Amino acid sequence: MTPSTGAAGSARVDSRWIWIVLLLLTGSYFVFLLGDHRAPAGQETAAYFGWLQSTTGHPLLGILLDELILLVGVWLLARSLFTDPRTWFFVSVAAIGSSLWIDAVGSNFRSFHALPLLLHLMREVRASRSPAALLAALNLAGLQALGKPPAQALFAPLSALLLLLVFRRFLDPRPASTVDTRRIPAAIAVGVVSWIPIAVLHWTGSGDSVGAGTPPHNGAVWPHPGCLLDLLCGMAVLPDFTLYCGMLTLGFAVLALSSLGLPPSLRLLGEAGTILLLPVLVSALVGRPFPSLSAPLGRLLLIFLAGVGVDRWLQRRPFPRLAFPLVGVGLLLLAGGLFYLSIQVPTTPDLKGAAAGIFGGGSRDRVSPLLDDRNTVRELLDISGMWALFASGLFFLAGAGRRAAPLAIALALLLHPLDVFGWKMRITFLRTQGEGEVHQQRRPLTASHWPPAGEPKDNIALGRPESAWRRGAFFLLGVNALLWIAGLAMIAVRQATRPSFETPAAGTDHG
Amino acid sequence: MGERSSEPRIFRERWLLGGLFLLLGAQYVWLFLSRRIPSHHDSLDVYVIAHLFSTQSAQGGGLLAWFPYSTHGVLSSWHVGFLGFVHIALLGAGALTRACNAVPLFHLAMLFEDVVLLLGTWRLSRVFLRSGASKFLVTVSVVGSSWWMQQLWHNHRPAYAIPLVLSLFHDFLEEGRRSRLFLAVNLLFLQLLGNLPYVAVMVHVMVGAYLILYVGLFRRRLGPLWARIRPRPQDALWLLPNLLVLGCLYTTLTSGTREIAFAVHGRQADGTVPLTEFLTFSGGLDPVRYADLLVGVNPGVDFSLYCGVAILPFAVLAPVLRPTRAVLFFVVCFLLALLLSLGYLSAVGMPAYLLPPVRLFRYISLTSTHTRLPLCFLAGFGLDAFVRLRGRAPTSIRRLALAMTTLGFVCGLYFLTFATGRQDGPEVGRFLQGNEQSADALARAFGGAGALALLTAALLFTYIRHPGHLQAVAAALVILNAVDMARWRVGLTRDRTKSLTADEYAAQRLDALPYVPRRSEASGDPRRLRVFDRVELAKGTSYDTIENYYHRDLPASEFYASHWMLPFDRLLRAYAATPIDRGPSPSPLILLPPFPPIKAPYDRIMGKARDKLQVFATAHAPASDQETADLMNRPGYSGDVLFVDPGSGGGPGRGPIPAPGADEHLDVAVETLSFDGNHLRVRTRASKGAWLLYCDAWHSHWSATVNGHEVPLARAFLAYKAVPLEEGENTVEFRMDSALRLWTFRVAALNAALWVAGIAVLAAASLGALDGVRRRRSGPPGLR
Repeated sequence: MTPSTGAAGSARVDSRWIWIVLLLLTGSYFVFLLGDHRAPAGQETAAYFGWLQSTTGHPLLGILLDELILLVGVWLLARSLFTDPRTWFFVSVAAIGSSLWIDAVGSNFRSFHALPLLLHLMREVRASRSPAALLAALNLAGLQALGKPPAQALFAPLSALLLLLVFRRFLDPRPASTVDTRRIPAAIAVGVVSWIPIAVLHWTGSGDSVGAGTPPHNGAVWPHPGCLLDLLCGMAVLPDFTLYCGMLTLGFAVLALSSLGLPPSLRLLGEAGTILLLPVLVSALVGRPFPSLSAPLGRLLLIFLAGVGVDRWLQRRPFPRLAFPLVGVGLLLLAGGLFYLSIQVPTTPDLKGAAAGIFGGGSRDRVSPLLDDRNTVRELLDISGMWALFASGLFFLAGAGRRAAPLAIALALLLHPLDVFGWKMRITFLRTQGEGEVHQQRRPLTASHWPPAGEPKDNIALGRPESAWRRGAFFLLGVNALLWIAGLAMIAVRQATRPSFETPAAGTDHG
Repeated sequence: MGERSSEPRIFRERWLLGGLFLLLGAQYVWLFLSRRIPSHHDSLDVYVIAHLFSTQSAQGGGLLAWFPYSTHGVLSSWHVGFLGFVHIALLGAGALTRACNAVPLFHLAMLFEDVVLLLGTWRLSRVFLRSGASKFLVTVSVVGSSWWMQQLWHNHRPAYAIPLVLSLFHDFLEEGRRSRLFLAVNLLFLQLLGNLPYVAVMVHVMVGAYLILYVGLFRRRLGPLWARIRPRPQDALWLLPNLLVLGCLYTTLTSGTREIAFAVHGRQADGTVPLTEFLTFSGGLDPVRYADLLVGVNPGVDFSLYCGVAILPFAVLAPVLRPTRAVLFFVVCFLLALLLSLGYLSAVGMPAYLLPPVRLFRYISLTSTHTRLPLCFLAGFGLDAFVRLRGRAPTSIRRLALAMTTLGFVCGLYFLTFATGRQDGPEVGRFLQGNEQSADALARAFGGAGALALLTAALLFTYIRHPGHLQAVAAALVILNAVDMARWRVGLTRDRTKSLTADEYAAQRLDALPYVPRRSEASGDPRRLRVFDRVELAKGTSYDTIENYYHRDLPASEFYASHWMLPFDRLLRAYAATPIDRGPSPSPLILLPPFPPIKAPYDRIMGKARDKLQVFATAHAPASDQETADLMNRPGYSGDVLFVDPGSGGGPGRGPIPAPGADEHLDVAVETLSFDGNHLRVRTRASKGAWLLYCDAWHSHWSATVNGHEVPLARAFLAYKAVPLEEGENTVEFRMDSALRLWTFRVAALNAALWVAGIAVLAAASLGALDGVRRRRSGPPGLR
């Protein structure tokens, strides 16, 4: 292999600013939701929001906290896996931007939102035997179960274990200085004890889940392979999950595979596929299989794979000679395909039926009612085509030589968040209703939508007298959650105030 | 910054700039000789408004403060802002323009704006670009692509002053010249003239975003200059006059407008638009429209994107051949403008909405106009790099040549499709977004674009085979681009404008506005009514202001009325029998078919079945507007009893209201002595206690005299004006008085006139004094 591009190399990038930009990006999405009083228009999230609003106030705050858990987890994990702060940015943007919870808060977001942080803490435990990390991991494993059926609650911890096992050659941390191991049993004990309030809520509740999780109604059917096309077109056609995580993510994931060579790539993909079966197996064990629950995990794996590609590019590591132009051509073809499909939209008699055939195996009920609006479909296809075109241009530029590399990197870091967050915002815009909706004369963008997935199960028994046990459990969980909020805030502040120019040693620098 | 190379470029630049002026002048000579004016849509609206204001001024009436034939009379405050600098300056010329025709005045005004754009782009290109060829390419494309004959509001006016403003800001940033900062801010504020207010706001946002990005990206280079540009106390002397001008503009545009009923769909009471409306109104967000950059079909009526055949290829080359910070800067500018124009489809519009002034803006898709400038500059960088290539052609040039060949053949296929009569295949129909164009026009557009793309490819292949011919190829491409822009602009103008006949041209003279005694479909100047195709007018957004141009006074216009006076709104409410003070405003369209004909007594009250000037034996003052409305809607009431509002400034005291069938209307002749938009003078005889009704909307800026004595002006029939008469002969004058508005306008007009003179001087200096220009201090190479 010969290097096909020179990259920015050892540019000293201050990670503080990158982290602040990430916080602003994450926050801007919520400013948009709050500013326009947007609320989910249908499906699982709408039912969930309705339930939460009747009990705890504004549900967006809870979602914001969950997104922060995901952001901190991805950031810390990326910090320990990749060398360049710009790669941390790339990976974090893709992970946060692709986490769409506006329809299926459980299956598309919450089933795995704690996984990166959990994985990071477990690597920390492996690296340094830190009792604090162990306690945090155990506590987080318990706390993330809130709002999910028990089967889903197992996904993140089991996946973290599985990932550490399968990808140990990538994920094994370098041993760090070992701390006092005598406190480990105490940490385990406290961690396990912290699960007691959750168990109390579960056993004293009337249903089979903890909190307000509602299983996705469509996910119980094995998805049509065509649903994977969402990765390429970002149409968010199906209600239970989304796959889109950016055109550049796709390109860099392919670059990462190309740098590994064919046999290792195939093995990697096989291992990833095996891990993705975990949610299916677990959900099958407790009832019916929900394959769509693998989507967030699949996205995360793809994003971190793209991170490998980005990091290699930024560190001037070699790629096959034609890797960049070929990825550029691939994305160009993808753009052409999307534009071609868009051209066909006006003349397709049954657009929804056609989409159902492609994405959902023929079931019209399983695809978005937004497909009834031809303008929207055309716009969504064309905007994805446009981003594929831009990404294609970027890969051609990146392959054009060392002189163009700094410009290509700057553009990649600009285009990537615009692409991913643009996708998140437009899908959110289409699937929520804001206060200005009554004035809209163009078309009823959000009027038609999937019907609500049904009332959530009232496991906390609204309106009935709470037992002392339950009140105590709520109190303890509240304190526990507050401790996490404080911890996350501390991490956020620390990341924003401590510069990091150099590559952190794995397992030792976790902010 | 400035010229760094030792080549004798100054001499060549003067010729290049002269060539640009010649190209522009030739187009205007053609426009003038062919007597072309906009035939519909918003540019026609601007022409009509300019015509009306010029007419008032030419007849010695000063600033037109009132449109008498729009929705029963309406304030013109907002429309003053629609005039460009030249028209505003000409208003001061008054009687000098009496014998003039509105068409050449309109051409002159647009020529001025194109000259501003040309000079601004040229000056800005001198900041960033090296070669004369690239400056020529950029200026030709920026000026040529700013086509104003259809949608002047969004396709030209938001963009024409930005390059000059930016170049002045650059003068300040690079050289610390305070006077340039003053001029830049002044010109930026004056964008409130000639633009819709919300468009002017977006211009400010665009300039602000450009400067923030520029300072952010070039902060290290600008750092050492901070000592020169940092704020100083004496800067207040530069700032205060600009703030004064801004205050005058605000007063001019808003004075008296609190008495207007605003009925634009989707806007909130404070004029802002909700986020959903901001991100989607009025559709056309699909990014596929940017494909027009390749072919120049100009699919929409509201925007054009095409900048010439060489622009996109050179713009694509810029990041590859010249990956500098300046290129990154313009790429970012282009991307942000493009993404903003995609509305809800991108992540840019939503954060932009957080800026309070942006909340006034609608038509987000039309911000695509702002992509043209950075794109053309990128092409300039590409050409700069291209002419400096040495040795074998790089791979990127080969790829580009292949891409242009492909484009040429694709356009050729479309050309054949249209030339053979298959004019509306689904693909093209979709791409054109519903804009109706003839098969001939489309065949011409695709044929031209295809031929030029193939020619471009051929030139690139020539360079690939013979690298020694690089300079010749570059020159040929620049010339080809200039020819293409002229072809595109002339083609569009020919297809989408009207060439007036001699008779129609004669009808455009600034003749006095006649008084129309009665609201009637039969009113109107027959010569003017024949000028425009009314079917064509109905396609675009034509406003009811045009009725003033037609000299036609109707109960309601078939064209779009966005606002009317609040008193008239109350009359409409009474007519519709809805509460006077609550609920949405009824549209004046309820007075037109398919609604039933105007019912009695409103046909008399509104000056349709009777003249607009009526005399009554006396007047009566109901307790409230609602009571007035109820009295007017009483069965048996025939409009023969005058009801006035005593609270509006004058009138009889409260007294008994006559029975519905009472007849107090006097059949007395009223002779019109003089009339224009701002006043009406009449003579009549009356008995003691009589009242004169004038069916023209009441507004607090109107006043009246009877036999030279000031009299209170009462609001009659909820909407109109009425005055008490004296016994015997009465000479009554209604006059629009607003000293504050007039004087603030004069300050703004003086400022605009100074700019007109200044631009003329700058143009002359640029053409004649370039060889005397001292070389300006060079910037570091990174910028270029």
